[in-house]
Amino acid sequence: MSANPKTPATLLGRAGKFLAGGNYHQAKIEYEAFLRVCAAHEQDGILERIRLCERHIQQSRAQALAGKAENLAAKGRLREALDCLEEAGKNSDAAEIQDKAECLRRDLLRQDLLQEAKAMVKAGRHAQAAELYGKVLEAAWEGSLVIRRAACLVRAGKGAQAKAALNELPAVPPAEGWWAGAQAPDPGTVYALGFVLAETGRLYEALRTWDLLAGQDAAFLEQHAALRSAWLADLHQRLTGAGADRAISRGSAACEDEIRYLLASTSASLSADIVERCRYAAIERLWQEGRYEAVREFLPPCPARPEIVALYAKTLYKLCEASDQRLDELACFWLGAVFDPEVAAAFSPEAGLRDPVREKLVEAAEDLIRGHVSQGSESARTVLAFWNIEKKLVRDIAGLAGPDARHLACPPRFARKFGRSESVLRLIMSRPDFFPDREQYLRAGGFYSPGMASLFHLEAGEYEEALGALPQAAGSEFVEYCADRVHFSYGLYRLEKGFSKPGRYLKRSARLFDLSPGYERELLRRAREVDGVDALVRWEAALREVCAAKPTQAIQAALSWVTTQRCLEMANDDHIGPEEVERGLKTALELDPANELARSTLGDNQIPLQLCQLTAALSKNKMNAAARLAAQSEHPPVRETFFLYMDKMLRDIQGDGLLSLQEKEMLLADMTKWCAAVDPGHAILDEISASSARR
Amino acid sequence: MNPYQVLNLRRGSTGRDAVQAVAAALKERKYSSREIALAQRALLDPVSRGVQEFLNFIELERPRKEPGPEVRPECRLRYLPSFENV
Repeated sequence: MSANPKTPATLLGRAGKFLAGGNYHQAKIEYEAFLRVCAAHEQDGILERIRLCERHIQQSRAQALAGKAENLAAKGRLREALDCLEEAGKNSDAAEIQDKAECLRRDLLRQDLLQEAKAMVKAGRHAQAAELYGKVLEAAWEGSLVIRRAACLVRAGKGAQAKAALNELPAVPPAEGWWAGAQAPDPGTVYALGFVLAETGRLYEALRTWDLLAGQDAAFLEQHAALRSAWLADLHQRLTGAGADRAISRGSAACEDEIRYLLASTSASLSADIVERCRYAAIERLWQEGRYEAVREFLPPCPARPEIVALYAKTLYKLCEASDQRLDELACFWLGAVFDPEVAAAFSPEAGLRDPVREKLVEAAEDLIRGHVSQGSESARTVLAFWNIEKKLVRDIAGLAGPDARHLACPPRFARKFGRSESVLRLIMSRPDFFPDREQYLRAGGFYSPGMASLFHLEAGEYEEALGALPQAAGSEFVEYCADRVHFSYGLYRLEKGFSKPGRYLKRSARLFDLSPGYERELLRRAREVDGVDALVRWEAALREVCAAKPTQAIQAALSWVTTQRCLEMANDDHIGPEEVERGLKTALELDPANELARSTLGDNQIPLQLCQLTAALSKNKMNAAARLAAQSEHPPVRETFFLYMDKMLRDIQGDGLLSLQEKEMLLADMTKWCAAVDPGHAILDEISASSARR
Repeated sequence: MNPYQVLNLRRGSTGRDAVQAVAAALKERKYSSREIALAQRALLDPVSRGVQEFLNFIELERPRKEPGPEVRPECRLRYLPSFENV
């Protein structure tokens, strides 16, 4: 039988369990039921427990309300959220709930004020709206509201106050992160900021701010264009108008920023004319301030006009006074500028002084480059080498050009950069007789041809790059000249580095030998300086290829010399035997019969050669052949070696116990025959005879 | 060193101007007497003067003004209603 659930003990037990489990509501019900059935003396402490349960119940209700308030606030239902919090506050005295309620009251007030401000704006009462925004800002600072207030002030005709209001902003255009809630700026605020900036005379900043508003409607785009136009006019006035000197000195950095922005703009609404006028005005001011790096930055990208070429040259000269970074560019532009007839016209009003001024200017730039070379600049050394080449070429072209073509007098890289190479080439081709020889003619044309880069790489000792820079397609005689020059130098480079197949390149350049004896001389000079077996083998192979393509007497002589040296060095190192030496030297002599070294070495090689042949015959028991060799040799060592062998053979026969008497007699008879064939009076014959008689 | 700057002379100054400018430059004491002497020498010789003029002055021919309405640096804008309630 189960226990009665309504007994005091059961009720008390259940209430205790609920209390311990945190179910205060159920615990309170059980305790109240217990009170109804228990005896009076059992009520002690129960009322206290009921109050405890009630406190917990109120707190959990307050927490639930606070949670609900939070959800409502998140949905923007601030009024209902505040009601919840106030209700919760009745059930709980937690400071957190009171703080939240206070915060919500402020937010509600702000919301009301903002709504009121918007209504004022709508009604056109901008001064009142500005006041309301001011009140909101007193409670909490917010960048976007500062802007809204400033816009209202502007529209209320209070420009000065608007200007002051903008000073509260940390940065204009707004830096990322300071907008309320660190969110992306809303278009309305961005527009308002640009509006206020424009209306308070900060046109550039207004423009940069409005640039943040992409893809807006036509009315906005119209305003944007008007603002841009006004800024540009203002900038131009600041750069060129009265007091421009002071303006640029005061705010050069800001001005530079504006010019940079202007030049980067690609807006069709900008007049190219005014853009260029601003550019030039800025350049002039920066030049006066000696800020040449900034001048360089603002130079027009393509110097189409002589005055711009001169400006490039002068700016680079000033920059190179301090650093070697732009020396190469200077070399290119300087010669292009000072040889330009229009630029030269400004050198002096007296025509007779222009050439001397030009020469002095060339000297000045050259001194500048040399100065960097003497300070140890490696790049300056290359620039100087190029400078010397280009200086000579530009002087040649200047001499070649008649009065109508003086503008063509420019260095090759400059000509290539500005599309004048073809004209210069035509000029060169029209007067081949101007040049002292064909090589000079081809060299000049080569530098203005598509092969130019490969020639400059050659001058810099960059052989791989020179080969890589050669035009792929076969071209004019100038390009072919470039290819020959590159193949010649590249072949020599491969030879000296020990790379494979140098002859392939050298034989392609054999045409150069007809053009100028210098190339052949260079090849021969280097061939004569070769040392070491490996290098000699490489040179011999390469020269053989060159010789096949161009069998001149000098090249044959060089090949003959290299072959002789190779044979000698290999023989000395025991890499080859007398037969191979003989073959090599005979080849050398065929190539160059006047090769005395080969001839004398060939003579000296006869003794080892014959000894070698003799030894080979003896070792194979070819005694008749050996005797014939010894008999025919003019060299005593050969015969001596033969008889030494015979002597040893005789001793062997005498001491041999295995041979029969008859066999010994036969051998001695043969020996007599062989020795008598070589020298019938030799003493060994007596010994052989005596040995035979003893038997 | 820019001799025109040292002697406080403009572009197109003559050798005579250079001689006359020396006294003022010495009086001003902005540059040493050696610098002033070098500047004077650089500007006395017409060839050297041509070189210095090329090195130290720039001359830019500005593009001609295009015909059309002249832009003014004022900007009076009407607040666009499309941004009013954004």
